[in-house]
Amino acid sequence: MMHGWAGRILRIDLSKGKITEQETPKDLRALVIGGRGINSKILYDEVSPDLDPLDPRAKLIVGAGPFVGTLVPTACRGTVTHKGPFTFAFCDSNFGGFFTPEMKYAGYDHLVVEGRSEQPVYVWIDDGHVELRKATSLWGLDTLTSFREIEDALGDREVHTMLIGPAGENLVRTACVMVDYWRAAGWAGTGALMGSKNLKAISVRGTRALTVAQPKRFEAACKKARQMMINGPRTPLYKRYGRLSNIESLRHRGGDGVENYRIPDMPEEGFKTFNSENIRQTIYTHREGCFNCPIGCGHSFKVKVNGKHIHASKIEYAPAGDVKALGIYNPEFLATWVYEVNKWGLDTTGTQNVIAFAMECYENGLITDKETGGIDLTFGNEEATLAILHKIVFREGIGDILAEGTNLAATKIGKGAEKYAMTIKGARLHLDPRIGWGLMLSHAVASRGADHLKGTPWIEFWDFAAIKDENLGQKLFGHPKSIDASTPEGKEFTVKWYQESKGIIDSLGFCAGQDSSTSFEYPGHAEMAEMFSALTGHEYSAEDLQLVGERIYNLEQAYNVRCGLRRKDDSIPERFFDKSTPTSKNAKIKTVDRATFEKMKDNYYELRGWDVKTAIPTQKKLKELGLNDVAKDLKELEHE
Amino acid sequence: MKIIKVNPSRCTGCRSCEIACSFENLGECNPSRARIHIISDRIRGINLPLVCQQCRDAPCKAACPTGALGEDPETHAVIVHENKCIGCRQCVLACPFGAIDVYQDMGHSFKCNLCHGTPQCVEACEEDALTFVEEVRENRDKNWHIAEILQKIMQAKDADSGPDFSGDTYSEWKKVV
Repeated sequence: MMHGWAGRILRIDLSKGKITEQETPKDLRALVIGGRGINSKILYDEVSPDLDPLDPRAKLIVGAGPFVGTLVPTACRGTVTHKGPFTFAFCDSNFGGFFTPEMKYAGYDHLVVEGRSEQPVYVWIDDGHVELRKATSLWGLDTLTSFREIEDALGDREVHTMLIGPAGENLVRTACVMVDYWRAAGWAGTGALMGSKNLKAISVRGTRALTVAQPKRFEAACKKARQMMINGPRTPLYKRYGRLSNIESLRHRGGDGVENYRIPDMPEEGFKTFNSENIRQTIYTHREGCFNCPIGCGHSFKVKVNGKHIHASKIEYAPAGDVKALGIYNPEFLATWVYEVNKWGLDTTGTQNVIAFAMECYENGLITDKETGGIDLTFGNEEATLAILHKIVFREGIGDILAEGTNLAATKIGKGAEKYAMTIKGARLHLDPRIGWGLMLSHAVASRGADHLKGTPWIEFWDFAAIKDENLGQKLFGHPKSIDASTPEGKEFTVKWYQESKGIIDSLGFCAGQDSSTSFEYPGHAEMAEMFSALTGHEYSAEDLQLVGERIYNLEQAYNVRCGLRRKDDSIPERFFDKSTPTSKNAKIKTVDRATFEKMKDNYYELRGWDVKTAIPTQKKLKELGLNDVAKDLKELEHE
Repeated sequence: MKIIKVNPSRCTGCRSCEIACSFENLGECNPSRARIHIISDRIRGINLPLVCQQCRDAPCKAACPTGALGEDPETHAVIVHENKCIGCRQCVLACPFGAIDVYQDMGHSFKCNLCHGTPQCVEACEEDALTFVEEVRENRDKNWHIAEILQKIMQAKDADSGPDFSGDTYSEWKKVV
């Protein structure tokens, strides 16, 4: 009997209207556990790297790890994986809430959707019963209305739904999938993929049980992890400000990146209103938690716009960072922005990135009033921001170009607009990478582009005065300088470890905000291994998990390599190499020397066991990890 | 007697209580069979935990044709004597809160039994939306809350003009009452 996993993978072919099931394969579970791991493996095995991301044959993979839906605290994280509509390579996005636990209660670890329906449809999963239902009347509705309409149609207020808004329907490449009204799988542009499949939504209701191999041991391990989170040093901050507390922590490190990163710090004036305490005082109403989370960092807000109250929920750091990146320091606009992007189904940061890009183009004369339709697209202009957002959603005028995402838009605009595209591998930047060498390296080499969620070594920002251990870097990662943000030395060790650690967390279904990457007081690998062993009955040690993490990371790199990505793509925007770009006085890195940066990458590839010239994983490494089929695929590329 | 006191305004809707309940009582993870449920208005994010009220004059008890529902002598919770229960669902029909269920595979009705004195839902609630308190203490928090507001109004009293009903404190008081 299978414990922890729900046990089955649901496959839906929208072209043929065919629905099939298979058991979650034992070898896959042993190889890459579940969640992000199995998602990535399915992507690697089944989605040809030559395929256009929005081709009908492209697949949308939704996955939940073995922890999801169980007693493990914060175990609610799901992953959507597919070929990225704007990265044209591996792309995934992690989300919280209640959808994935419900999916597992319905009996499924993973959903794999392929094909294209002729008419708009949505998928209804009711325990073991699955059907495709007409969504013609839902097409064109905003996300909030669509959620309610689906619940009404199914006659059940407790279904959990993920769906797209008009942005996804119009194939805006930065469109997200909204989950349960206010949560989003935003990162990967999944909305565009669902839109291309004529798939409006997936709704699920599950009432089945997930069993546990060793209940007593499992309960003790979960209670311990839960207590660690409750007592964790950052927990009071998360409870009071949610993720908005990152506004201060980033500012103190010089990572603000205002006005498309041309200004490093938010101005003092702006910070007076746009700090987490003031945002809380101005618009905060209450807190909401994801499934089985003792912290509950999702904060809800209310503002009055044109005499009407707008409620927006689950505001975390990303939209706050976005609003200030547009040069707007108004807490009320933050709630309006979140409400608008959520309502239309857009990813907040991806959309911000393309708007900020357009604003810099406009201010430098690459786009004129004629093209914007008279919108004064300058930084800090709230009205213009909302106006251009609507144009992007409905692909009107210049919105049609911007809806293609920053990189494609830059190519279409031409005239050297590329230099204003703040992206890595086509994916948007989220903070100024010059706050630490490890962070910079992790952003450059991350498997889905400019990414703070695929292995950023947060440890380099910890307060070491409080830890009082000079040998910590040596002890943890095998290099004395590995945890020092101000030097490029030894960064490969930290980045590699964090990348693998994140792979495990995402594969198990744990929340990355409450694990030991934030502080040792939170549950780490040892606690995860204990919970995992007790839950599934398969004994895993912390080291075993780490190996799974390494496997997943190599798998994703292998897919990227087959999509044509090489060492040169692992870089940061040119702006940060340019000595004339101002640096924050708080930042650890004043200038980025290209040779130093490349040397850091050399070390990283070497440690990874990848070819230093091309960043292709070597045969030796892949075989060592048990990825023999991948090794075979990459063999011919080896002698490039 | 101790009761589970619900304070909906503190509930974050995380459903930790549901999962803890199902794990304690069924040994598995299945919130749909928990004995406590959180009903959420998801648009506005309002969450209301619903659990058996352990009614003194319990409708479920009155409706039971076989006398399968009784009282735990220690916790005074309304409990199911599983050997007497025939699974006829009369209790389900009678309960105004939807706090008692019957499932085919279990064969008998099941409901909150206060986990024999240490309710796991309460243990799992980090927000104190659920607390396990003596009946007599149930309203004390509310008393204190309103008293503090009223005291503020009274302190703001001017010698001539009487209590201050104009400021923020008054509007806060109006919100409560």
